[in-house]
Amino acid sequence: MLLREALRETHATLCQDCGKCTGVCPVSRYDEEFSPRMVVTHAVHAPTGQAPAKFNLCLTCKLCSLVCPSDVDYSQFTRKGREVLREDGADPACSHGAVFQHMMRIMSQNGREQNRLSWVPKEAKTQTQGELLYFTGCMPFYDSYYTHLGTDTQRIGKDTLRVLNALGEEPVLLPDELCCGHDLYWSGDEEAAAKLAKKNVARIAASGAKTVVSSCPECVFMLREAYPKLAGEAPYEALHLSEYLARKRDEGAVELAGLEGDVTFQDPCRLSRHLDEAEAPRAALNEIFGESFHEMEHHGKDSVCCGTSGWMHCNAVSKRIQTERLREAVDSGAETLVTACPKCQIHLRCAQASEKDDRLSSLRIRDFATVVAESIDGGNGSW
Amino acid sequence: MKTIEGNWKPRLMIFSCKWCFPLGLEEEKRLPEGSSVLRSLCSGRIHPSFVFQAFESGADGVFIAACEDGDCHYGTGTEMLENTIGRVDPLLDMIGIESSRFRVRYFPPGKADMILESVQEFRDQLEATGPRGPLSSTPHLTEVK
Repeated sequence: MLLREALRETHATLCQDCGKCTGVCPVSRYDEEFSPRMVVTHAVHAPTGQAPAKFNLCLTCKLCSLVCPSDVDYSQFTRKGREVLREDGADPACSHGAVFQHMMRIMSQNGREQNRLSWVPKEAKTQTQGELLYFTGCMPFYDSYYTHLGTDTQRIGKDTLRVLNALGEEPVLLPDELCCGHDLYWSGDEEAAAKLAKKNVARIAASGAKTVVSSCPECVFMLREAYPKLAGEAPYEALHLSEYLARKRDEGAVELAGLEGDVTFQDPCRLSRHLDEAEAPRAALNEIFGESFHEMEHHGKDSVCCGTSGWMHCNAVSKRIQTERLREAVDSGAETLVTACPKCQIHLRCAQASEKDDRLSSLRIRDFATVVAESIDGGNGSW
Repeated sequence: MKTIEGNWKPRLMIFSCKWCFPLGLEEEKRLPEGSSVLRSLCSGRIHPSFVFQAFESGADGVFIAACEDGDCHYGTGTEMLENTIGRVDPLLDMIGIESSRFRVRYFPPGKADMILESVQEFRDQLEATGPRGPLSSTPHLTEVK
């Protein structure tokens, strides 16, 4: 695919060179050499030549698109640029030696029986056919890889099941679910992402599910926004847990009990900007914590990303973004940072592991699902 | 599941430290048929992602040959490997690759016969287990002839 097409499809040819994108870009703040508008300018001047190597530095957090007067979809432009780079044989600069991308491509190949549900507690009520499906995503894998960070991402899955069970739902869990393909899609391997998309859509359809809930905003982004294009269809409604909860609260099906402690919320970029949903998690946290819920300086649609996305290009800039994010959380008066994405949690914990400031390293990080589960069952249903 | 009927032979990827894995094993073609070797400067450089890349590329089994603890030429390589390689088994299990297809063994320096015996045993076991399902369409592994 030529860069020229990408420029046109994402409106990047309409760039006015105003520099507002660079003004808000979290990467540009710490890396003087990076500027979204410069990447566009270089691409405009050499649309058939080699793609700018700086494509890999972008977080695809979409903050720049909010301020762009020409409505340039810079995140998608970056993604398409990465496809061009990939076709040129360039290294996509994946972090952790691309271990997750390799696992995803293995999943996109045929004929393997997975063992991905061993974390499901026996007390949890689940089924194999039904209207509501819980798409777990890669969450079960991370605990085995990030052994040094003390992450407990499987906790997110258990607590999501606790919430769904408490709402009277027995969700479907797919034993043959595959990675949603988010990281392959954003690192420029649309071909492998499409293979995963087609298989997942067929498996979801075979389960009879009409609604797919996920605790990971990246999975929801793929299921809702990307699968219709990658798989050609998406015959279900995909919701993040916070959106599903908001719907149930509107129906009066659930009441959230108050919890103690000062908290703040890290908006995952996929949820707040790519899916345009900053309200649903906030409404729930406001009800649970009341006046003890504090906002960071940058919050909602203006929030800053957790420093890395799609397991790509983690570097010193990522670390500074993460540290700054922890600082904002502490400055808001919170003792606990709640987030709604397993990767935000992993990235911020990683920054904490090497942080010398006790105030930042002792900040407690929890997932939205865990907090909601505790509020609904008072901590009695802990598996 | 056998996908290549008849004369199927296991494809074995070996990652090794150059200090414990004699060059002669490769050059004198003493390794079993279907083996590919990637010798790194130190086993501390062998990352879990190597194992997954090999499986993605169509390997039936992955073998890591490293120096015994205390024998590392650089001091801490074996320790570095041990700190990260334990992550591989549970991940393989979850994505549906039998953990018997992955093996890490530690050797004293210069023990070619010991390595050969261990690799041969692993290969025989792979042959008994059978192919790992469909191969990737773009295999990167080149077999040692």
